[in-house]
Amino acid sequence: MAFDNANSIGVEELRPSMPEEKLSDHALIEATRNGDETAFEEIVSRYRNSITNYLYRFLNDYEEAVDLAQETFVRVYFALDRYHTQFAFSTYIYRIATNLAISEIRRRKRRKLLSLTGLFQTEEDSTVEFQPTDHRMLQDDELVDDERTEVIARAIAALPEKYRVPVVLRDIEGKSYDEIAEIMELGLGTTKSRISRGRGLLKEKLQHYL
Amino acid sequence: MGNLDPKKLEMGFESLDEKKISQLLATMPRIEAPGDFAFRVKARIAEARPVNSKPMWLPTALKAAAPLGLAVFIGGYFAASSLYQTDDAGAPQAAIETAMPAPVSQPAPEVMAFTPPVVAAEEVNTPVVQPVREVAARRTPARRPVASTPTVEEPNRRSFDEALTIPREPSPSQEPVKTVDTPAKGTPAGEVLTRIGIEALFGENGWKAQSVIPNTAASRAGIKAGDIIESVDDQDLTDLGSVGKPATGKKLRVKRDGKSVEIKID
Repeated sequence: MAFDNANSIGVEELRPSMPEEKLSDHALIEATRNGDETAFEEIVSRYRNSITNYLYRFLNDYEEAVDLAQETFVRVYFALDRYHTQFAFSTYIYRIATNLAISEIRRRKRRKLLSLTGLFQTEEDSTVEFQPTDHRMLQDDELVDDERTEVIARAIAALPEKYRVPVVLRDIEGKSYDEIAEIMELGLGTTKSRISRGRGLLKEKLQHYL
Repeated sequence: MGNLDPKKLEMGFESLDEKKISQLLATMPRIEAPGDFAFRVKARIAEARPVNSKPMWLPTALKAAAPLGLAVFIGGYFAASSLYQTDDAGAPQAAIETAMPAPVSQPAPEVMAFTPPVVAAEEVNTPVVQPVREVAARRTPARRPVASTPTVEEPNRRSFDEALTIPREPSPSQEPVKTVDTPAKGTPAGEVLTRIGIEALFGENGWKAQSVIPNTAASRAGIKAGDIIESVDDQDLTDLGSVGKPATGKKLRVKRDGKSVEIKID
């Protein structure tokens, strides 16, 4: 694999060399394994926005979402030899992103335990995920100005991770129940139950917008 | 809210509110990755890629060399420290020897034997360096060896065991008070004569009276200077020794002008 040798070549210059018909993810993976330096570029191009959006809704932190999305592709690149094509690549990459995001959430929890703010939290507040206010400007200014979007984003970020993952995958990323069950490595019934429970928790906080 | 609908339930919604929540979430705007996303991914991959130019035998050699080097270092450290401690122990003696002025003419080995190293070390710190012999003599006078002249304190230097075995001699202060009437057994002859008032010296002819103390028993008995006292209470005074029996001095035999006369003293 000579992907890093193509640093000086732009993505747009590489794309004309790709075949006209859209290759499957498995074909791109195989091409990447065989040293096709443009194949992994195509994989990144296909999934970068969806993975970034998924991680952003999960973490409610754009910079952290971008960083973890990049780390997701790096992990995918170095684990291609161990990837089995009998599984859907989208499931595989979402599972890696989910694991990274959960690790980040738990790191935040440890940081929260070490902070003095945890001493003054009530029991009701302790059920809410630690989400420091992000004052940085997002790419879309309209998104910042949209109060409803802001409230929904905070409500999602406040969900426990076991409900947050399936709800975001289902209602924002549009994944099927089977895909979500495979990503979370859970049974289909457990997955549906968690989605329903997560929606119920959101309903309590978003009653005003229903 | 909460109304069950079989059709919606088939779609995955257990209630109408749940569907509304799902629709509400679906209206969230999608976030896109930054423009340099692919470039950053490539950079991170290049940064995380292990460098294959290193020879594969190097880590193995390091694994073997690291404990070996550590063992050599520890052994060398202890060897060097032991050598350093040996040199360090001899260093103060060498420093004292170089600091002290060496005796030019008369080395004094016996004095050095009595001179503890501490005294010599203290002497090094004094501004005026004095010969070792003087220093030792001044600081340890009791330890100076005295070979020829025994002193009065010699008996006191006996050991404790010797003091237990040797009978103690009565000191002058501990002697019983002797009276003229009851002289102690073994009283020296000169002392007996002195008690009765005769100052006598032992000569070739025996005890010869040199003078007679006035108003004493001897003067009242008519003893004169030049008389030879031959016996006291029938005990002959033939030598310089003591009178064998307790003598009161009430009966003397005196030789005067070649004639022996017995005199009774009251």
